[in-house]
Amino acid sequence: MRRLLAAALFLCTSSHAHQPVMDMAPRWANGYGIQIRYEWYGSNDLKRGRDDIANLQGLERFVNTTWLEGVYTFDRSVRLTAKIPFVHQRRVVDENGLPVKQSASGLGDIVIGLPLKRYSNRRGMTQNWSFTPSLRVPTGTSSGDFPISDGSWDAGLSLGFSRETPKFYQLYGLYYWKEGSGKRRMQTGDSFGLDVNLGIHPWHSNETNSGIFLMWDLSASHSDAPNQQNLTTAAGADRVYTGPIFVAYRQNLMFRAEFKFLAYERVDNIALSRGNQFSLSVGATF
Amino acid sequence: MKIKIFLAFILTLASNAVIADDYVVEVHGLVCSFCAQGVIKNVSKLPFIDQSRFTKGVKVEIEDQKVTISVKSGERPDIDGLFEAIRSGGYEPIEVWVVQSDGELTKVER
Repeated sequence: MRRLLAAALFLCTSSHAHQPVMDMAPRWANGYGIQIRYEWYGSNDLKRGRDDIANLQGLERFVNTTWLEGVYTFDRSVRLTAKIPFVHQRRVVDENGLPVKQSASGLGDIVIGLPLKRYSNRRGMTQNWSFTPSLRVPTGTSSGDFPISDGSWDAGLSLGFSRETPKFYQLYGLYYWKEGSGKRRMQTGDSFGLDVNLGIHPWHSNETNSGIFLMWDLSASHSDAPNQQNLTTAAGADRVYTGPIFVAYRQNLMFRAEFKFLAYERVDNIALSRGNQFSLSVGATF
Repeated sequence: MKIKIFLAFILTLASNAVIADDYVVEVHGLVCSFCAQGVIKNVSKLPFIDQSRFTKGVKVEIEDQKVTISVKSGERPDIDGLFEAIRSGGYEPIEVWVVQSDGELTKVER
């Protein structure tokens, strides 16, 4: 049964700067985890560079994604992760001076990652460096007037460091995505960014193996402008997000809620703001 | 009938009165109980563990980075196997003590 589940996780993988479930678990050999994460972002704020401008046509874009995520740990230094997105997106765009509604739903691009970690366990703390090559597989549709994917194979790399004591948690991550050439001559811009999570572990129970983490996230990113043929949600921009993260766990179950407030945004030319971001996830490790 | 129930109660008490031996392992890096499930999972499978106590025979205390195990009465724990199970769970076992009947800890030499 365990082999079947592991094989299923192998078949459905993708990764980003963050690990499925949490950076912390599963760190045991032959451990695995699954997580369902709902993510929402969007806005009807129109920007030119850093400035908000009048949105007379009511342009907007909202994206809901439900991620099915899995991780398998060979031993604590080698993991395999997969993220499968199911996307529902809608927008109002300007076509020849008229607002036009567009929407699309379906499977997005699967991301597969291979986190390689070097742990150091000492009295009262554990820390690890991680190096994660990733691959984004063009499984999402690139057809229609609002395609979910640009249809390209993309390669990612991330470097991370996390350190944890019984009371404090910190994670720093850098990532870079190199975008390939997609279908219909679409080309999304490369991106890179920084993630920082700082948090406390204010309560836990040894008896019930339950507790909570309270963290604060800071994410900064830069995305190169896509080419003229790009039809997806991608846009060239610099962004800084920040906001709280709440994590509760009991035994092998974990719940995570995250709100990211868009603190800074500069878009290329005129574009819709990405808006605030909210996510909820439930995961389990075995 | 009442006598039978009473006798069954006394027998139950007697069986529970057989207290298993406890051993305490200092484990470096053990600072998160959510992350320590692998230790519980691996150690609880060891044949000398008394799973009737703690969580499947294993108790994790992250403040002191301690793992307490309950060993079946009359059995000796395989310390090498115990350490390997903890390492496979992602952590570094350092030393192990046996809990004496008066609560004192005595270091187990390997």
